[in-house]
Amino acid sequence: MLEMLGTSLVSALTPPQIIYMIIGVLFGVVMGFIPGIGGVFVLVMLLPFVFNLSTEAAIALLISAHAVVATGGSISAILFGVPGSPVNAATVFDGYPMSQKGQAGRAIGVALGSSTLGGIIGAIVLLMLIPVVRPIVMSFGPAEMLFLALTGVSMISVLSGSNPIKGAIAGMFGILISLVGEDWVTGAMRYTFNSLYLWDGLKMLPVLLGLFAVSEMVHLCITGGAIAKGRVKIEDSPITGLLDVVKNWWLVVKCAVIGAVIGIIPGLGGDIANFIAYGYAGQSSGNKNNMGTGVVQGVLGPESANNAKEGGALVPTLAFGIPGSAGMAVLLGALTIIGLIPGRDLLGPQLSSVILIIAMLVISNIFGAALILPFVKYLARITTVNVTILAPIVLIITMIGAFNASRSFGDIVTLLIFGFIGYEMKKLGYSRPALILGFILGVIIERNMWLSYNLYGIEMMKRPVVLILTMLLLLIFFGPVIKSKMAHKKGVI
Amino acid sequence: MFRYSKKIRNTCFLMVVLLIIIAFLPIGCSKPADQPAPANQTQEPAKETAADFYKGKTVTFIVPFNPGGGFDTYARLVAPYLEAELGAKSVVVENIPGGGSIIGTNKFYTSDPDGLTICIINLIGTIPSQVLNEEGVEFDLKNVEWVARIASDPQVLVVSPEGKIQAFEDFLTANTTISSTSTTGSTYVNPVAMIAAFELQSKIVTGFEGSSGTDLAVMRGDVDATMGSMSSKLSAIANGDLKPIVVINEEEVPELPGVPNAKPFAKSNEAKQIINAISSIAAAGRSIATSPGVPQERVEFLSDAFMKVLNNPELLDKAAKADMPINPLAGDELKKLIDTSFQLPEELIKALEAK
Repeated sequence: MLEMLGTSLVSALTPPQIIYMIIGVLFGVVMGFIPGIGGVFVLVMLLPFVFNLSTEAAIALLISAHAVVATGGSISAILFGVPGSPVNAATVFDGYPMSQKGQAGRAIGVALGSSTLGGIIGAIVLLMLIPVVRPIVMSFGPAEMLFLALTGVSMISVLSGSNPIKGAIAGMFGILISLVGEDWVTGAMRYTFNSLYLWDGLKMLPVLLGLFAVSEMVHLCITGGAIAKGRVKIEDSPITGLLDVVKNWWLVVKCAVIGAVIGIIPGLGGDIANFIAYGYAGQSSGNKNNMGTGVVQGVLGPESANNAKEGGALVPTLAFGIPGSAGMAVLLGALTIIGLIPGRDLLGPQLSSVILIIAMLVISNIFGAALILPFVKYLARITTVNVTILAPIVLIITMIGAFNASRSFGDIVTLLIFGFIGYEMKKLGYSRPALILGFILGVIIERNMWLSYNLYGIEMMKRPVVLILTMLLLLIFFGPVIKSKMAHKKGVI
Repeated sequence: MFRYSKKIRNTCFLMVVLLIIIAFLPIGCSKPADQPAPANQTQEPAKETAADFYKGKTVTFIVPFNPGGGFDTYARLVAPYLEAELGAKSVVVENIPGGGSIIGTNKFYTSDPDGLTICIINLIGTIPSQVLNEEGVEFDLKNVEWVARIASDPQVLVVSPEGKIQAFEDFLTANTTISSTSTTGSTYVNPVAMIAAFELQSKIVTGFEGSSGTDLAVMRGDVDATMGSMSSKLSAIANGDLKPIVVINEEEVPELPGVPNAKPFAKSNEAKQIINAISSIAAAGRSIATSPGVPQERVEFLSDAFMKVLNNPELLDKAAKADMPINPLAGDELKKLIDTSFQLPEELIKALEAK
């Protein structure tokens, strides 16, 4: 195995592969930076070119482009509060406040460092899990996903900020709006107001961009000035951010593992990986009450998870030929074209291609960060540009990004409505992250609740993974109560 | 605030403008760059041949799904070759997803009848919706001009190789569950038709996410079987994760040797009618249409171009590499298949209405 690793690393680093890797990384980073263009679009754009490439070159191009999309997206999330794609949503929560504090350079440094480390860990997870992935994927049915999503609901408390009641209200509102559209079980249309656009439910991208990008820009227009308030520390450099990552390396590793594991489970959707990691980073760093005010942990958690997720998502794609996401479906098609057949043969004759994929994941993640690093100083200066110049530009980019969701006028309407809602929520102190989490989890909970009820009925509670997750849920909800009771008792005695 | 020199601010501004232009890229890619010129199409049809008409024009190829799916991959495979064959300036693929392909098909149906808009039609999604007169349907696929079939889309019933049912004969009499995504589309219409035709004791469980969701449910053993496009299941079948036990199609399916066709199992007249209807939908598969009212000469020109493209050895080589079957069909034979597709028997319509 190690020998194989060595030889494929050597074959990965031949000049043509390196050139394709560089092209892929450049393309991926720039496309990721632009809101509305996610990994799927990047792959679809590259697809026509892979027919004429060698297997190695095609793998280098596709994997490296797809691997760094989340890295590019983190920059727009931090600088303008505009997530490049939904996988960067949680980066906005603390990354944008860091920019407002004049620490944009540091925040990007943190994002680059944790993205790289996360991507590498994701690749390692892929390497280790491919032989044993079958039982993991097979043990996650609808019931398990339902309870995993319910555990995710507990993250709302981390995302709520100082007011848990308002956070809960926002989270519930998020779950409510996730119910818009066709009910898959009965085929009934809910809250669609005879509009075809709403049949498939509200799209994630316009909702997200409206809640954050539009509302922040409106806020900025009203207050005036630039994004960075107060004194801007120009000496604030990405190196400080990289050092932050080194200091918090263990948290980065844990969040990367969370991201990779969520990536492995098909159907759970990579969009929630960054939220769960954000919540976990908040819980475990002891910074829970400061989350959302611009703390380093709030950036490195999600950024490490969203790059690690790619490695995880490749596991079922390669091992079964079952893609867990739209991006992986395109990648699977591309891999078939270049002659790689996913499935049981993977550990036999095709092992060298798999190792090449893993090597490319690692190299492109490092290269992607190294590519951006020299420009951070200049990028950070954008936060000092006056709103009169900045807001129109950001709003236009945001609108185009939202329109990319389904190329329909409805996307723009959704964007503006949620821009208004987001602005009012910000003013009244309701947590927008909680709304987004509810919105994402609502879909997963509803779908899997009906499925597990129809498939297993009450028997679902007897499944081992469900039992473990139920225990975890009880611990999360009643743990603090019991703890305070115990402390109280001690105090009395 | 203005501590930077004008030069730096100007550079920043230029960079952002550049980014805006790049951001327009995906939209730009999918919109016709120039408006069609319908001015002289009625006055002087004799002077201008169809080949002249398409020269230098932009043809919009509507895919009523998001990028990345089966229909999209076929459209993107064909588009560059079609461009060369038509002599057009470009053939742009425009993804208009939503409503299980209804939104994109609506938009296609109401496009100008100049032959510059073509669409890949999701027959198994749209025909039942049109016949049932469902909410939101604005198109009438009986009126559109059919251009060519790229490939048939055989539908297959798959089970787990480790499950209790290993042959279609057993499936006919057993109590089974079938996974499906929603109450429309191939994972639902096919099993409803099978249940109606063979009076099966099957329960359809809806709500799985995509065909990977329905397939995984079979592999995990949560349900007994699922149905859907063969092309999406070929790699799982080759890996031995799924086992096909019956296939629905008009023609032979060379990709699945030894798997029986559903037709011989249909004994009664009603059963035969139902299976015939869904077989012809499967056989018409991934077909291309252009807007209703397009001059006949242009339809024929488009159709000829498609047939040439689909016999191009370079394209066939790419398609073979990507495991995408190509079996072109045009003219009367395609028309006949589509006509049969619309003859959904009463029993099937009732079963589909019952949801």
